[in-house]
Amino acid sequence: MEIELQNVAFHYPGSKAHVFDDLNLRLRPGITLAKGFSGCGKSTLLRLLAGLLKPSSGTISTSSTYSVGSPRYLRYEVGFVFQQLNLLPLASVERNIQLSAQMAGKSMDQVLPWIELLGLSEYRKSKPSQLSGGQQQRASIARALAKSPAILLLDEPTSGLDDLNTKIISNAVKNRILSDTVCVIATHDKRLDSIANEILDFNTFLPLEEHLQSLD
Amino acid sequence: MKFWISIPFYLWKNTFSRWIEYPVSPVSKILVPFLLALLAAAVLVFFAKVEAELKARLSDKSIYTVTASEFVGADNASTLLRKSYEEEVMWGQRIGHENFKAVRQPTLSALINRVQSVPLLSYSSSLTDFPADQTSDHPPILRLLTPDRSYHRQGVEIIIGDRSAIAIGEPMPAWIEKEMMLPMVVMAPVEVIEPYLQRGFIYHTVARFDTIPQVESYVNEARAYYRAEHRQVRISSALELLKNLEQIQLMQKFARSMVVTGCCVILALTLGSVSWLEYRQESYLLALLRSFGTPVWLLFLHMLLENLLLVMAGIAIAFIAWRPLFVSLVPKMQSLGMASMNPASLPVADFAVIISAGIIGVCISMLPVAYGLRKPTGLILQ
Repeated sequence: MEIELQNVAFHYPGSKAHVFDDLNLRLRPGITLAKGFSGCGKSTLLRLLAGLLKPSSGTISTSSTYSVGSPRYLRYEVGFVFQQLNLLPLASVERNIQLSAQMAGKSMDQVLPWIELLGLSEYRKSKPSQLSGGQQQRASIARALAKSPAILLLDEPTSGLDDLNTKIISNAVKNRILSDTVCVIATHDKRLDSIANEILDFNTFLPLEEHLQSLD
Repeated sequence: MKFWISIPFYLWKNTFSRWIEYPVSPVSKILVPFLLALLAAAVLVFFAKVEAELKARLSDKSIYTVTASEFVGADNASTLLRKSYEEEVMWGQRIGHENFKAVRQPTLSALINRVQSVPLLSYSSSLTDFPADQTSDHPPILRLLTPDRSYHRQGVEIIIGDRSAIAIGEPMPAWIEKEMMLPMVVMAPVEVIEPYLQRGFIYHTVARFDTIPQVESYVNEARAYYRAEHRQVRISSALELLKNLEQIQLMQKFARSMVVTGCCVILALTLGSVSWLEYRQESYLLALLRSFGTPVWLLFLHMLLENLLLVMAGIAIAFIAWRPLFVSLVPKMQSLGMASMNPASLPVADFAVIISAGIIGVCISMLPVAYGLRKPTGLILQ
C-alpha cells in the first residue's frame, strides 16, 4: 500500500486558517510517527488519510482499489484507533473486535489471537465500561489490528498509559502489522520512537505563529 | 454473520437500551400518532357516516323525480283549482303526460270501514294511470289504492264527508307509494270531490326525468314559474341531496387532505425534534460505526425503521382502541343529543389515509437526521 498527498490543503468549516496549506507527502509501508505540538494537524492528517475528512483542495491517492473515504475503503483497508471513546459501549470486548473484523471479511478464528496478544483474554466478555483506560486502548488496537488493515492509523495510542501497556501496544504494532501496511501514529510519546521507520515532524509544516492564529 | 446483519443487530440493541434508559422518547413517539390517529379517525368517520346516510336517503328516493306540493286555502281554491288543470295540461305537454302526474288532496280524508281514515286524492282526465273508467252509463269509480292484496278487486265501503260509496281495491301505483309516501289512499275522479276541493286543497305533482340536467332544468323552470305567480310551492328533488352529497364528498376530500397535512406536519415536527435530539445524542456512536465502514444508508434506514415502528404501533393502538373508546363515549354523546352517534367502523380508504399520513410524517421527520448524517465523520470524532 502507498498513499500520496498532493498539494493538500485543509481548513475546518467556519475557520479561515488552514491546518495544511500545500502538503505533499508520500507514505510507504512501515511505521511512520507524526510528531509535533498540539493542534499542529497530526490527528487531522490521520482523518484525511482515512477519508473521514475531505481536503479543501489537493488530492489523496492510494494504491487501493477503493476510493478514499468510501465505506468499502474504511471496511477493508483502514484500521483506525481514535484518541478516546473508541469502543461500542454495549458490546463486549470480543464482540467489538469481532464486529470490526467481520466488516473486513475476517472470521472469529482470526480474531482470537489478537485478544490473546493484547492480553485481553480474561476481559473478552467484559463491557468497555468495566475496563481501565489502558485495557480499553488495547482493545481498540486489537480491533484495528484484527482487520489486518493495509492502512493502520493510531491517534495518540499510548497517551496516559503506563510503560507496560505502552510496551504491549508497541510490540503488537511492530511485530504484527503486515509487510505492506502503512502505519501512521500521531503521538507525542517518545517511547514509540524505537518502533518507527520514519518520523514526520509537523513543526516544520506550519509556522507556529500561523498555528496560534488558527487556534484563536 | 454478515455486517449488514450484525450492525443492525447492534443498533437495535442500542435502541432498546436507549428506550429503557429514556422511556419518554418511545412513549412520545407512540402517543403522538395514537392521539392524531384517534382524532383523524373521528373526523373521517363523521364524514363517512354523513355520506352513508345521504346515500341511504338517495336510495330511498328516485334521483330523477321531482315532487312539488302547494297548499291552497279556501279563499283562492276555486281560482287555483282551475289554474291547476291548465298547468297539468301545460306541464304534461312540455315533459310528456306519461312523465307528469298531478293530484289534488282535499282537506278532509275518507273513512274506510267507518273507522280507518285514509287520505283522499283526486285526479283529472289528464292522468293516464287511470284510464277512462267512466261512461255515461256507470257512476264514476272510486279506487282504494293499497299494497294490501286482501282489498284488491273487493268493494270497500267508504265515507267522504256525509256521503258513502263503494270503492274498488286496486294495487298502489309505485309513484304514489314511493314519491308521496302514502301507504293507502282513496283515489276519486275530480268531479266527484270538487265541492270538497273548493274548501281548500293540497296540489301535488310528480315529474319524472331521465337525466340530472333535465331534473335541474325542470326545477329551475318550475321555481321561476311559481315565483312569478307569487305562489308558495314546495319543490323537492334529489338534486338537493345530490348537491349535499357532492358538498359532503368535497368536504370529505378536504378533511382527508387536512388530516394528511395536519398529521404529517405535527408528526414531522414532534418526531423530527425527538429524532434530531436522539441523533445528537447518538452521533458519536454513529460516526464510530461509519468509521468502520458502515454505510450511511444502513444507519439512516435503522432510524427510519425505528420511527416507523413506533408510529405504526401508535396508529395500530388507536385503531384497536377506537371501537371500545367510542362505545364508552356513545351513551354520553347520546345524552348530549347526538343520538345518531354509533361506533362506525373506519372505511378502508380512510384507514389508508391515516397510515399514509403517518408514513409521510415519519419520512419528513427524518430530514434533519439525513442532514446530520451528511456531516463528515472526522468532524464528529474529534
